[in-house]
Amino acid sequence: MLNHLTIIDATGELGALAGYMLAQLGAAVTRLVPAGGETTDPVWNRDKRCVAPNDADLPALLSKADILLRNGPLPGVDIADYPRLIDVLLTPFACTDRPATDMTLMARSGLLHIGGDPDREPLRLPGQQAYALGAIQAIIGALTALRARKDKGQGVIVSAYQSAVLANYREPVMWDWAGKVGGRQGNLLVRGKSGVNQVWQVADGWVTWALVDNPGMMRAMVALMQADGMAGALTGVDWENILVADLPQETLKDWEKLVGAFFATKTRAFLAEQSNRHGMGLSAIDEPQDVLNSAHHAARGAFVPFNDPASGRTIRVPGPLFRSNREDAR
Amino acid sequence: MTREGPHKGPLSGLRIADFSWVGAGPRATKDLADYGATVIKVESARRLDLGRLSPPFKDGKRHHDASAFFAITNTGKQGVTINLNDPSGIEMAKKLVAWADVVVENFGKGYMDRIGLSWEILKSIKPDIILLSVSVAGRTGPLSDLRGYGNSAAALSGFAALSGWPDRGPHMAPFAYGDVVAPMMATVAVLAALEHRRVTGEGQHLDVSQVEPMMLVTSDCLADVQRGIEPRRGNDDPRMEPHGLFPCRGPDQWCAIAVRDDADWQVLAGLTGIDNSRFATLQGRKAHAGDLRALLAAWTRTQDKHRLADRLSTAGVPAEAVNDGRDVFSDAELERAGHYHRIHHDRLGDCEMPGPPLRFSDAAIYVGPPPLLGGDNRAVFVDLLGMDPAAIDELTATGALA
Repeated sequence: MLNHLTIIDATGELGALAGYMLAQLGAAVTRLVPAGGETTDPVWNRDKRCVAPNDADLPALLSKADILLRNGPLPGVDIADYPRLIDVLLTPFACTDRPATDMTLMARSGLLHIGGDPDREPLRLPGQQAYALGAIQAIIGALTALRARKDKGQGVIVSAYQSAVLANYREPVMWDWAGKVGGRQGNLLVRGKSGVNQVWQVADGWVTWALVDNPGMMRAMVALMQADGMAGALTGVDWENILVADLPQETLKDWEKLVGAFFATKTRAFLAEQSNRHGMGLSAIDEPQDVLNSAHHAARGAFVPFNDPASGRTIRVPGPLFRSNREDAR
Repeated sequence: MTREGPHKGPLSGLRIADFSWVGAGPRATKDLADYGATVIKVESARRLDLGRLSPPFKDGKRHHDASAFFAITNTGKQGVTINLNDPSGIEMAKKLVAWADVVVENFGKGYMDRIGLSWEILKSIKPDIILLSVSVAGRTGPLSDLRGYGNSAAALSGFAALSGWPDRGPHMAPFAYGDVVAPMMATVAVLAALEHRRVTGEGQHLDVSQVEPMMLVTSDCLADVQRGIEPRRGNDDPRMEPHGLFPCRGPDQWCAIAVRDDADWQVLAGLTGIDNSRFATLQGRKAHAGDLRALLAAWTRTQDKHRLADRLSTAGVPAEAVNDGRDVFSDAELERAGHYHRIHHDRLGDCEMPGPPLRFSDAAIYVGPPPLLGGDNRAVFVDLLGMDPAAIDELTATGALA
């Protein structure tokens, strides 16, 4: 799609994903190796031409570039000398100069406060999600500015912190509109007066399912349990005329004991297949190896081989960002 | 009057016919609207966007125009109601397609085909149209029929299995991260397709899943699995120590502290008075992490989380308070950055909506109010599409525009 574009990626760990995504979309991406060496996981630098700053003719590169991605000033470079450039500055904060890591940004965003189990400290998301969110926003800013470009480019300043705050779409709003502050609930889904379990251990792993206000899903699950004579008190519940979210916690716990006992006798594959057939709203929780070996992902070509310099082996990594009917364009 | 073009954002002139609902589609079109695109949100009073039913509501009173959740997800759009089960409604939808550059949908697989808005028909109406389809697992493959929620995407992408503590099972994040990452990818896809169309004149059908972007943003974790590195590691980072959350004064108050290197550690050691040669190197700090964390926790436990974070940051060590929703809403950084935009809405009154996390040097961002249900029917059907007002009245009376 973007085969005609030239990108200079002068970011560090914060932003390397942006350069990778533009490369996936067909752009020619040159990665300037950060001063002091590359600390970014090599998966984020795939399909880029990597050059050391000392070996790069930066003025020549920038004069041909459409988009520059950076985290701060480039030594000896005056951006004003490149009037057609889309200059994207991706920083931890828009207005504050203070040190940051992915975890500290996530902490400030409010996303850690609600993550994890109540009996332990708050829990971060896997990987580097504030950095990822900031990087994707940087591309949105870059391509938006590109569409607006006529004779001259412009600057775009992207805040990774604000990107993480946007992902926290419930908590600030709940405080603003309802005066409520959320907390850690483990794997309970709390809506209304009670909480329901979302993660269940089954015979060979884990699945996600919950008692929710969806009568069709609930009836389908109870029917499956009845076939094994394990529905107990769930038999005969009038799902159309109750509000699960407002049931007493003790009732829900009793019902969840029945569900848990039933799940313990079944495999992930059986339950997922039954859910697909009967609309039970259940999904198997895939472990990373399951994900890498998934027939669905294989059918979509979701993973591609990568010669990983970190391990010296060929590993599989996510490939296309999305699909298009014009695969040649992607 | 239609609101097409009153605010010259960087995407001014771009036209979006948005048939999507709930979260994964509407968040993408919100981005485009905030940047100046004209987005017409197609809904039906007969099958409300579930976002309109999501709390919190203005004054706690449930009403389809009073959901704050719906509001923050749909800023700057115009709203029309079309009954897509009515042939006359479909004809009106086709007029919107003819007007649009981009059509967006996140229905179940095959629904657009069944109602007569297939990709082939859209192309016949407008050959260079861009169609964006957003779904849980994509439009192809064995799971393409899957109808699910954010939890399904977390389960199938490995995100849930990668989340949590090494000594416990998977953790399901208490928000639908797939509804965050997928719409961002959808926005990227639309912008890239528009650039491709600018150069080639060609439209295309984009298929964005919720699962694949979640795998993309954990590429490093999936790589670690294949490198033999434990990917579910709580708050640990193999390259940093200390790296975690430390208790502060008050119930459930915490401060995140990340020591990136030995120089950071020297600064922290000076501030805390923890002076032990065992901790001078990363290897030593990792080997004695339990002792080090206990010493650090004893030092942080009596301190205010915000003051501690400011003190460490000023000294050059990354640290931030673990904020709750109230802390975030009143964060001075967001105030200075103009993160919240003041809007006026007929039902919500004067209120603040979060805007994009970026700013342009030569273009404005305008965050407008979300649409009332069907609130722009006349402006869109009569003023924008040039329909006869009497015909619109009749279609409204027959239920085609409801």
